[in-house]
Amino acid sequence: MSLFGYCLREARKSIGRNPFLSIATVFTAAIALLVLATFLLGAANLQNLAEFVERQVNVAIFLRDGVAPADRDSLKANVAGIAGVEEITFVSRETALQRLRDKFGENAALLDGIDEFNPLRDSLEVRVGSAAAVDLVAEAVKASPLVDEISYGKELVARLVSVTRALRLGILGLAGLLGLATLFLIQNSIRLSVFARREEISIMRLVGATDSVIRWPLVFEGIVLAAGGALVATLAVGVVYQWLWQAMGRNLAFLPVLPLAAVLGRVGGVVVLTGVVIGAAGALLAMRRWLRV
Amino acid sequence: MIEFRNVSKVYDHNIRALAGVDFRVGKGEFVFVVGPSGAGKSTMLRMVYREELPSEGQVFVEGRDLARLRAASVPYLRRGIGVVFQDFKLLPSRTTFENVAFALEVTGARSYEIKRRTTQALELVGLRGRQRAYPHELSGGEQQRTSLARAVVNSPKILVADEPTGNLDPQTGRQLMQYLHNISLMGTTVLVATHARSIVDEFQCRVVRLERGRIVRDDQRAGYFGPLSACADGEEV
Repeated sequence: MSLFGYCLREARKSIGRNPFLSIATVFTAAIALLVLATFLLGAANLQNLAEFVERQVNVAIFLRDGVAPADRDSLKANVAGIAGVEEITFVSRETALQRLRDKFGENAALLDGIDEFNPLRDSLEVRVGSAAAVDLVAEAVKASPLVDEISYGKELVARLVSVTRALRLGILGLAGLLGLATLFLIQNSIRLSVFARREEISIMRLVGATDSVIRWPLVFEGIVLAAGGALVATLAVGVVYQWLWQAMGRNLAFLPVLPLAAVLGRVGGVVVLTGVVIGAAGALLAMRRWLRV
Repeated sequence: MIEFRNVSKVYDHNIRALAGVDFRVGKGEFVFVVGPSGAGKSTMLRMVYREELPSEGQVFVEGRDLARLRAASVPYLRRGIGVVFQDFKLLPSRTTFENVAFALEVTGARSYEIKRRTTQALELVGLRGRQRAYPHELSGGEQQRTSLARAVVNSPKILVADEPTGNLDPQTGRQLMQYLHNISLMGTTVLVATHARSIVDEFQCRVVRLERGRIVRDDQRAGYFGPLSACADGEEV
């Protein structure tokens, strides 16, 4: 019989022999990893939000009334030549109004009657690849007599980016702390399991079991239990996330929330892997004191 | 086979368990170790399978100085030594068969080998028909025979039994001792620590008597209180 087979079989049997302790360990691990999974999902969405915001970096150049199409086109060509500008579109005041109507949706009737004296202005919408290009565009057109106003959410963008960076760091730190807490919890659970089996371990040592024969079944057990907890946690977090995602889709549609399929694989993978590592480490830590020959 | 050279053992708080013990046991010998509680019998036995190390002196098993044995070699030493305890030390969640097979499994033996030798060992102690029973379904005598089967399943050269009949009635105890004796007749060195005076008298084997950590008597073909001719002296235990 191979040692590996023996270890696997023993781990399975041991879980079967102590079903309550095993289930308790799985759920302890699940709860700890659930928190980790929640933070990972939060982090993934925050990342996504940050990218989304960065993609929104654009500049609107509002034109004075009555600018001739030829002047407008030459201004457009000038701006298009600036490094970092990815796209430039002319938006007429009529198009702008139509967009507003679309935004109002079923309340568009409120806008009825303003067609006559449309208060909106013609504009050039500039999409840029980086925050630095925003400055270049603004500098280039500021002095032009054709330009009424330049609008760009530069400060807002800068703040959002720095806030998300801080949040990301914070979440990383928290995830680390949670990982440690999980390790501690699982180590304690396995220590209980090892303690419950100290008689068995002492007999194993008496009949000439090497340390590895004693150690590996327990490590396998730790891995299986913690990975089981990780799966439970992933499943639970997945169900809740899907439900939240649908609810937000209905009520907060403007927020870019990642669909479950886009994040579950990554988060589940990290959580299960964390579970495996923590389960093994927890088991090894837990049995240190029982393996003194 | 086993040799103690001027062995002393002092536990924490200056408790002296053994003091200058010199003692040799040859291959296939059957030896009773007797003496009052606290005389050092258990300590002496535990040193044989290296559960304890001497504070002074040396213990040799098959010519190897146990104090110099590397930790990684200890399991291999123990595979050659069967141990039987007063409280059996069976695993309650395993059947008789599994309890015995356990000692082979941890050595990495092949499964057909485990099956064959476990069955043999159970046969040796007359438990063939009880192999599916759990310890709580067995009588005290059956439990001790199970633990004996576990001790011999690896075909050890040495068998150590610490008060093996302590939890058994006299009749069952005598029967168990007979099994131990039979095993020694097959060439295994057997060391038995016991209080069971009538059994020791009956078997007439070598008797080593310990008192306060010292060997006070070591007689061949003796009873509990010494050579059988001197039995009438009526010494106190």
